[in-house]
Amino acid sequence: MTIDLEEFYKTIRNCSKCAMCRNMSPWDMQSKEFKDICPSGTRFLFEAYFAPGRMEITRALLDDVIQYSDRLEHIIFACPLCGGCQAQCEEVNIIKPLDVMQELRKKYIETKGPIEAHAKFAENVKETHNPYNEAHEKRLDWLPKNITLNEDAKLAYFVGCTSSYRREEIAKAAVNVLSSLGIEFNILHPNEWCCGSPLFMTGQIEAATELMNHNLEALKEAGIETIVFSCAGCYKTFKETYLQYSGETNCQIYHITEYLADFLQTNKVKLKEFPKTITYHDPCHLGRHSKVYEAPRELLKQIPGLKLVEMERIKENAWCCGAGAGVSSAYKDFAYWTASQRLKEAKSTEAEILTTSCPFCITNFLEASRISNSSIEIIPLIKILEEVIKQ
Amino acid sequence: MITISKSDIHSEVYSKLEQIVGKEYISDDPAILIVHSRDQSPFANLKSIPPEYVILPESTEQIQEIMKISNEYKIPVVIQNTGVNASGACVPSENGSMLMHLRRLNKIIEIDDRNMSATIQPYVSYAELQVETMKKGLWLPSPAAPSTVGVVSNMLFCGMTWCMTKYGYERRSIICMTWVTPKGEIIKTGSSAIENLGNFWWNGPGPDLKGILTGAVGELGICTEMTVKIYPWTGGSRLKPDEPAENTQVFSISFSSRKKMLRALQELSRADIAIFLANVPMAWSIMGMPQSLESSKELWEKRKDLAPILKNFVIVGIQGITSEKQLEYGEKVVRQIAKETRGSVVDLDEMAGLAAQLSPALQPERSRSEFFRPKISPRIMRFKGGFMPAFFPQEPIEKALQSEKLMGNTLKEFPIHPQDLYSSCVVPVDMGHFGLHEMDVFFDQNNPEELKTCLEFAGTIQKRSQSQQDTWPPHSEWRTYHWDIVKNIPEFAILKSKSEQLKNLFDPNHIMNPGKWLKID
Repeated sequence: MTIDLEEFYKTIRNCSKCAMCRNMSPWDMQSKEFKDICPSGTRFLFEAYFAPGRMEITRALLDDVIQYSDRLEHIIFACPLCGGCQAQCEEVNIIKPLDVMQELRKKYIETKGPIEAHAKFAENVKETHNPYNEAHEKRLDWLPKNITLNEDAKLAYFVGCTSSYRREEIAKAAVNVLSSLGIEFNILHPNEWCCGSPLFMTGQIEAATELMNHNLEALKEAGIETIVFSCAGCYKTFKETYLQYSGETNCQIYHITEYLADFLQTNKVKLKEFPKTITYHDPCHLGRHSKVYEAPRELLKQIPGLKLVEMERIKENAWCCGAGAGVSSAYKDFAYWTASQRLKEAKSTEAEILTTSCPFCITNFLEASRISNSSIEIIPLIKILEEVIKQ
Repeated sequence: MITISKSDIHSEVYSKLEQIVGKEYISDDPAILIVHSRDQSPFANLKSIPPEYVILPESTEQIQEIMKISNEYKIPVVIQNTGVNASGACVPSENGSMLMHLRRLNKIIEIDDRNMSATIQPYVSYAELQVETMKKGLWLPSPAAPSTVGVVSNMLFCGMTWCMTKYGYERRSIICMTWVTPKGEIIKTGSSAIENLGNFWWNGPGPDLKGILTGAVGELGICTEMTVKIYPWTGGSRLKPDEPAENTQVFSISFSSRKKMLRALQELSRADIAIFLANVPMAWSIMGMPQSLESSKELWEKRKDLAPILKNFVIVGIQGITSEKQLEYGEKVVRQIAKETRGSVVDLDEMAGLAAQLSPALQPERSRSEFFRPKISPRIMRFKGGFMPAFFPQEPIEKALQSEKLMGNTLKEFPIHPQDLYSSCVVPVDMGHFGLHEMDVFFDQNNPEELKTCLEFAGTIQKRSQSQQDTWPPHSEWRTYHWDIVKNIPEFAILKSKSEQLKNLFDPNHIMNPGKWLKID
């Protein structure tokens, strides 16, 4: 069930410009240095880049008061749709800036078509079923030889495009962990296509819906009852976006951290020591968008010797990695700037390792770390689990 | 489609401004400009005017240069700081304006914990300054606004806090200021006026010039740096939303009548035990405590059940600043005064339990943090969408009944519904020497007719209140409204001709935030 932009009109007019959406919750704020919540506004500074500004722009477009321009395009798309603004607004008001901005993108696409950097997503997925334009037949090339898939399994691991083609170590770690724990699973290759997240998030709904229909059909055909994701973006897309656009998903949906937190506790799995100080980054798609905050932390806390130290902005207040919603493809500098702010915050905890549970965040952090010469090590959470669960 | 008018001199001015701040920090793109045509003021819904330029300076010196150009080309300049709770003050009222946003002046320059002061730039909010000062056992009292509001602008504008009984209006906490006049001169006040002396003394040299800038709603210049008093805080280095602040207690007291409640407010103020003290209107509690509009609406339907607790309701915070015994003493005094004034003290946990029986949506425990570092204010409790402080008398506390009567009777003449939704809040100031009284009405933001009715009502009540003895109706808030929209507003500029002389002295070209303080025909 989606809401048209026009239906938001009255709500938009009620934005009282209280500025809660510019910063993390004042009650949780610990320092001036790490108080910002909106990467876009913080980086580009004009009020138009903060949620209340975007609300005014939406109103002006609906009132036919302004026209599309290059600057307007930048304002609409130079935003990772992290939802930091909405999480704060929910505490005091009902404006739903994230939902409005997603609808604003749809309206833009309907009028102007996708922006250049995003148009290729749709072209690529049409050709190769992934936004990276990699050969579909190579999607499973990373699969370790010793891993056996069970075609009759009712549980599927949805690898996702980023782990298949860019962060293969995450995909390998995920299957190694599942296999080490004796969990029977399948991967739906060749029927696993891009989940559609890059298209949904950049307003290209029609192309995204085709992918959704394909994936849902593939799950149905394979008789999958439970599906597990190591990508926060794919997880959110199946759990929230598919539900929004199709009304059903017909299977149990878990992020791998949720699945394993439950599994390890139920099965009393003994874990190896990992004597490191670690800080955890909440990916927006897993955290704010899907409200999964505790499972990754529960997993980390179960690991002997591991010390979890929290950053100042966590959970609802987490600072985004900056890569999402088409930002890393259209505005790379902005994406790296956002990630480097997070690396600075991670470093301030005195942690040795920054971990997270999204391959997209990891990719952006690694690149930002390389550019900014950050000394904190970046390791995917599933890799740490692979290490401590390894037989 | 509206076109954003560009004057003949636009390109020339733009180029000069760009040279001052750099390409990245100025824009004349309609998408950037349109955002500044409206703020939370209801008036901007009726008449919105976008600026012609938006500029983001980063220093006093840049602002000085910008003001010189503005004078040369006679460009109206509107200043926006955080823009929070500054209804109408930060939006243009004339075409061809420049919106100067102070976002880049965002530094805490110094916290002097020994002498209890902080020197800050304007974009620093209460929340930001509090988080840093609380680590040093100090705080700036919470504003009666979301804590995202800028310290400097709140002090120069209305300066209201929940803590006025103890610390007075916020502007009394100003020690020194650096101020760029509309002509581009720099004025320093207090001890900062003498080079290298330091920012420690508030007065002079000579007449205390800071009084000129406070209350002028940005018409006489731009404050680019301010040193403010900060005060002892023993509540812990950080707020924890789920726990009461250390060494601190918050009490709510309910009364069966306004008269008893007002007496209690006076007695509690006079006893000098509270760090915050206020009467919280039932409408605010119902609109502000729940976390959704739907819950608020449900609660409003149950208002008769809630009235015994919330209709005449006082919230008081005490802290053991000098010792634990001070906290014990404070509690004794609160309970004694409540007993004498026949109030019923309910602690927040108890109240949360009672509220839960009526509606889980009512969450009084949020008051634990709300009054120290506010998230909400009536402006953002969008029960009907729109909010308007209709009547803002400042008067001896006991006069509040008379003002409420005037408000209630006048309201009956106007079709603003529901009639009992209006709120009346009394906050004691200066140990109860007087009180600030805020009476708000709420309207449908999407209904221009209802808005116009509210404006007529507000103008009428302002006019009538002028003849009411011991009531001081003018408030900075009202000066910011668009004069040509609000009807029946009495002339507030006391000694108007002198005010005009002052304006002419500082701003001979009348370019600085025109129409927000003085109405010059």
